[in-house]
Amino acid sequence: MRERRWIVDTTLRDGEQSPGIAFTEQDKVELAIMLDRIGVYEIEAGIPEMKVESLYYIEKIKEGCKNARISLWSRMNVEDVKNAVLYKPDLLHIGVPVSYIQIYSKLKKNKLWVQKTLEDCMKVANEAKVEVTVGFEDASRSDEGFLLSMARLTRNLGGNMVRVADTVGVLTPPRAGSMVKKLVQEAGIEVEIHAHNDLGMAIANSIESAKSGAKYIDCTLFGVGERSGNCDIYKFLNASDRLFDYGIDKKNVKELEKVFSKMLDRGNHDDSYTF
Amino acid sequence: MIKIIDATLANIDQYEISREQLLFFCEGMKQIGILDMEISTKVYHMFGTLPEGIRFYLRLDPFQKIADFQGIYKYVISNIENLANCISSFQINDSREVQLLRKHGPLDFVKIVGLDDLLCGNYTFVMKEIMSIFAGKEILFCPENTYDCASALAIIWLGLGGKAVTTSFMGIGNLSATEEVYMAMHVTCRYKPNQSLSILQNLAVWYEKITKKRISPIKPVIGQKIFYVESGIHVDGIIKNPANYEAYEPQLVGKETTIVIGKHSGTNSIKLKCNEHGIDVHSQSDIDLILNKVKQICMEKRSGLTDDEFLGLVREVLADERKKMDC
Repeated sequence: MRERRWIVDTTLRDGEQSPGIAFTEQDKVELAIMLDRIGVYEIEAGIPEMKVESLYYIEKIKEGCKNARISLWSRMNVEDVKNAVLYKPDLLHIGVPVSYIQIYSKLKKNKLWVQKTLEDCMKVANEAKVEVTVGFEDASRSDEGFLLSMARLTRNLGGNMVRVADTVGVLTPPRAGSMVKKLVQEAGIEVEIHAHNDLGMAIANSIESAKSGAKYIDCTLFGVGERSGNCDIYKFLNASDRLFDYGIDKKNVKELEKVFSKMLDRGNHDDSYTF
Repeated sequence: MIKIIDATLANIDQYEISREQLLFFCEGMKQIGILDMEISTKVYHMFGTLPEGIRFYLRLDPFQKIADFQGIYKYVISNIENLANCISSFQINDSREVQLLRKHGPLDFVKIVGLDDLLCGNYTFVMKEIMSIFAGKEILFCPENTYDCASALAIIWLGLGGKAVTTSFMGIGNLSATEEVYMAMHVTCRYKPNQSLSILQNLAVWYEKITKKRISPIKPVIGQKIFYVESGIHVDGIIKNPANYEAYEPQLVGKETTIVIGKHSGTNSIKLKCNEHGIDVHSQSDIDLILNKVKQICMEKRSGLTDDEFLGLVREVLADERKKMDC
C-alpha cells in the first residue's frame, strides 16, 4: 500500500507571483473550487496585505471548497500577521528568512531579531487560534544548525510544521533529502517542501523530500512561479504516484490545466507556459 | 575531471537543418567548453568535413560499418564486445535490470541509457552498483527524462563520482538538458566558474528555429523571463542584493534582471521604473495612487503592464493630481 502524502497548491499565491500573471478575485474563487474538487489538500489562496483584494474572495473560497484547507501567506511582520488572521484562514504560512544572506543582506537584521519576531508573530496567531506553518525562506542556503534551532523554536512556540523553501532553486535531491530527514528526526517536526525550478530539479527535489519524510508537497499548475517556477503538479504526480498516494487522479489535473490555460489566455499570456 | 557529452545532434534527424546551422551549434558548444558531442550518421554526412576542436561520438545502428565513418573519436553501438574505439550502449528501463549488466563487466567503455524512474527508487545504491560493475572502466550515464528528473539524475551521478554524462540542449530526445546540468554543476560545484554562458541565448534561438517550437519563458537557464521580477518583496530584496533572489548572475547567461510592473508590485518598483524613464515622483501619496491604480488595472486585464502602459498611467495620475492642486 502506498504511503499517503498531501499536495499543497500554491498557484494562487506563488504561482500568481510569476511576473505578468494576475488573477481576478473571481478567477481565484473558480480555480480554488476546481482544485478542491480534484482533491488538493490545501490551497494557498494569496497574500492578504495586497490592498486591492477584499476579504470577499477568501470567504467565497472557503464557502466553495468542501474539503481543502485554505491558507494564506504572510511576511514575518506582526502587523501583517494581525491583518492576515482577520481573514480566518485554516492555516497561515509565515515566511521567515533563515539564510544569512537573507537575514543580514535583505532584512539587515540578525538571528536574534528573527527569533524574537517569530515569537511575536506566533503569539498573535496563537491568540487568534490560527494554525501556523513557519516557512523557512531560503532554507537551502541556510546554516544547518540555525535551521534546526529555528525548527525547535517553532515547535516550542506551538507550531508543528515547517515549510522548507528552496527559494532560489539550488537544492539537489541528496541535499533536499538530508535536510528534510534531519528536520523530521532531530527537530521532531512535520515538513512541507517548497521547491523552485531554477536548475530544473524542482520535481526531483520534491520527490526526494517526500521519500525522506516531507508529508506536504507544494506545487503549482504548469509549475508557474517566480523565475523558472515551482514544482509542476501534473509532472510531480506523474513521476511519483506509484510511490505515494496523493488522493488526486492526475487525469483530473490535466482537465484542470485546460481551464487554467484558458484563464491565462484571457490575460494574453504566452501559452508556452504549458511546456 | 567530469565530461558533459552533448547529444543534441544525435536527436535532430527529424528536423530540416543546414550545415551552417550544425556548425553554429558546434561553435556554441565549444564556446561554453563542451568539446564532446554525440551525432547521428545523418549529421555526420551533412558535415562532410567534421569541424575541428570537438571529439565526435557517432551513434551507429547494428547494420552500419565503422569503416564507413572516418574521423570519429568513439562509436556508440549496441554491441557487447570490446571493439577498438567503441562504446557499448545498454538501455536499462528498470533499475532491477542493472544486474543484467554484470556479465558485461569486462567491457572497457559503456553507455548506460534509460533509468527514467530511478529517482523513485534507491538511486544511490543503483548508481554505485553500476560503478562497481564497471569499476575502473569508462561509463557514460545517459538518464532519460520521461519523469522530468533526468537533469537531477545526471547531477546525482556526477556527485557520486561518475565522470561523464550524456545530455542534450533543451533535453531534446528525452534526455537531461545540457544547460541545466551545466548550470547545476556550475552553481553547486563551481564547474567552469569563469566560463561565460551568454551564447546559450543564441542557442535558444537556434533551437526554436530548428524545431519550430517555442521555449517556455520560464524554462530553467534559457527561458526569456527567468530574470523578470515583479513582486514587491523580491524587487526590494534584489535592489539590496541580487543574490537574495537570484541563484546566479543573469549576465552569466547573457540576461539581466528586469523589473516588470504588475499586480504584485510594491512602491520600490514604482519609484525605480519612474526613475528609469526620467519621471520624478517624490510624493509618497502619488506613489501610492499609482500603485493602487496599477493593481486595479492588472487585475482587470489579468496581466502585467508594458512600460508604455505604465508610463501612460503615471502621466494620467500625475496630471489628475496637478489638476486637483490647481483647483
